[in-house]
Amino acid sequence: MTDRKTPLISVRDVSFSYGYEPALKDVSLDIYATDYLAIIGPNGGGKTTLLKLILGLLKPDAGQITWPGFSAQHQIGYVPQFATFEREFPLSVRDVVLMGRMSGHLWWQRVSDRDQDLTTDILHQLGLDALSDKPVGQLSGGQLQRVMIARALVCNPDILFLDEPIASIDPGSRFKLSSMLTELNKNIPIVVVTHDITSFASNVLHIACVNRTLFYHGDAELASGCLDEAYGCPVELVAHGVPHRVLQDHADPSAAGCTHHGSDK
Amino acid sequence: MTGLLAALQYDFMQNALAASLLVSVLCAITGTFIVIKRLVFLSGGISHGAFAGLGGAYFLGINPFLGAMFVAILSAAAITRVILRQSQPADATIGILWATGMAAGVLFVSITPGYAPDLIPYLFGDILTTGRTQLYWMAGFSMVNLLLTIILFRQLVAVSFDDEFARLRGLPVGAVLLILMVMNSVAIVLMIQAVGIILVMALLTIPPLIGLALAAKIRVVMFYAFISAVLITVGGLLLSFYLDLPSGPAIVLLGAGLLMLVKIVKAQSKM
Repeated sequence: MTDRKTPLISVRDVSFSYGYEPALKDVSLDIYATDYLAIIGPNGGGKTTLLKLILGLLKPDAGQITWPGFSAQHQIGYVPQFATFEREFPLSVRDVVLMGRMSGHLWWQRVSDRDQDLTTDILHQLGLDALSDKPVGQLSGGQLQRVMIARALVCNPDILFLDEPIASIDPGSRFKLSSMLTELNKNIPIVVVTHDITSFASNVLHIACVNRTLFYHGDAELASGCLDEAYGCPVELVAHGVPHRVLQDHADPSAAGCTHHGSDK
Repeated sequence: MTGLLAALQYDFMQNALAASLLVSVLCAITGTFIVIKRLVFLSGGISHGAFAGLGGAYFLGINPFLGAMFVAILSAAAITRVILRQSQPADATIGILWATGMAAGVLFVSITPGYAPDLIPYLFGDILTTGRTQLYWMAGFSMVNLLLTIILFRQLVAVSFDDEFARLRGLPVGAVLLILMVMNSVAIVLMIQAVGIILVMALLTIPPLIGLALAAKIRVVMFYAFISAVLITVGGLLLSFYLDLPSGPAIVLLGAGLLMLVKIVKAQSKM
């Protein structure tokens, strides 16, 4: 890979636990410009925890997370896992998306004309124009998902993180989301947490497989080669929650070229 | 209406009416945030915990409401810390605050030498005995709350809605949350005068729930909450005056009735 020199984000030997239960142990991971990283693994394996550590929403017990590749004013786009807020909250779609334009000031925060314009644009791009004034509580799962994506994109992010973005949407929308992300990835790096790689498999550049520790952090060749070749196979097994075995199993019978990826990372 | 005008000849009724309006402002703002951010139980903890301050101040011979205010703000800050750190489940902490506050309050009052006071007005409120000084305090704090809410509206809403996202936007979530909690605890103590420690939760929840039943925009919700709070506090006041009922329970039951009515009418209109 050409841009493997300086990482945008560097995770070094990070451990984290909730109380006495270790959630992640000695995880190291780099994220590069133009990367499209899928963090996969079984439920409860620490995927979301890793994402929150990277985002700085959680503080690691040990190890370091740095963002050497970004300037101080970088914008982070973040699409949280589905139900992180109250559905009955009295806000319109537009109100929610406008939150993506907020800054860090404690005091005055007015909505500027530019904020309004950018919000109108992004609502249009995501086909949400008609829902603009609708209360968020009345949206379907897929619609709400698009609102969350609009809120993440309205700040013109330098990097985009999505946590289980396809869990609550129908197959048609999954495909649309996937192609939209591929399009966005031409300009910014994308990190997606998912327990179901199916919808992203053809586009992701790297895979990080997390189950308490990082079992596998695969290169681009996997995405373009092995993963494409045996499309259905890893998908099935990943969905069943033993991804580290998937890649080893998968390497054994047919795709010999994959072996070195899974062996000693 | 004529009943109200007749009653207003009395000084104490004028005070009580002013107190009703101020309490309505507070519960519209504070209550709406408390309901949408699901802080109702926490508010119960703060109001009951404040009884420790009330009793302590009584023991020391100073204004009981200042004592309650002091303890409420302190506990709001402590709970904010717990929420931000998530080192332990906040609901257990709230439960401890709740019971310990009540225990300490009763203990202070009982060891105070002299004539034992009647605790019922503190527990269930007595808006008809609101004094001038009390009213000035309420007016002052209500204005501060209102002003802070206007200045910080977007930030307060963003942090209430999704604090993780707010943090990623660079918002000082801890500071905003602390301001929200302190505003809430100040409002709660001021409302104790009207409905008392035990019933304050009703006044914090019923008007916002009526607002939420009628509107889907947060400012409009607050407006309806204000209107319904005025209706039930003034209505409760008049019931209390004319039928010689305790004002706190009159206000709360009137509120519960109005909420039920609104819900029924809403359900009917949907069919």
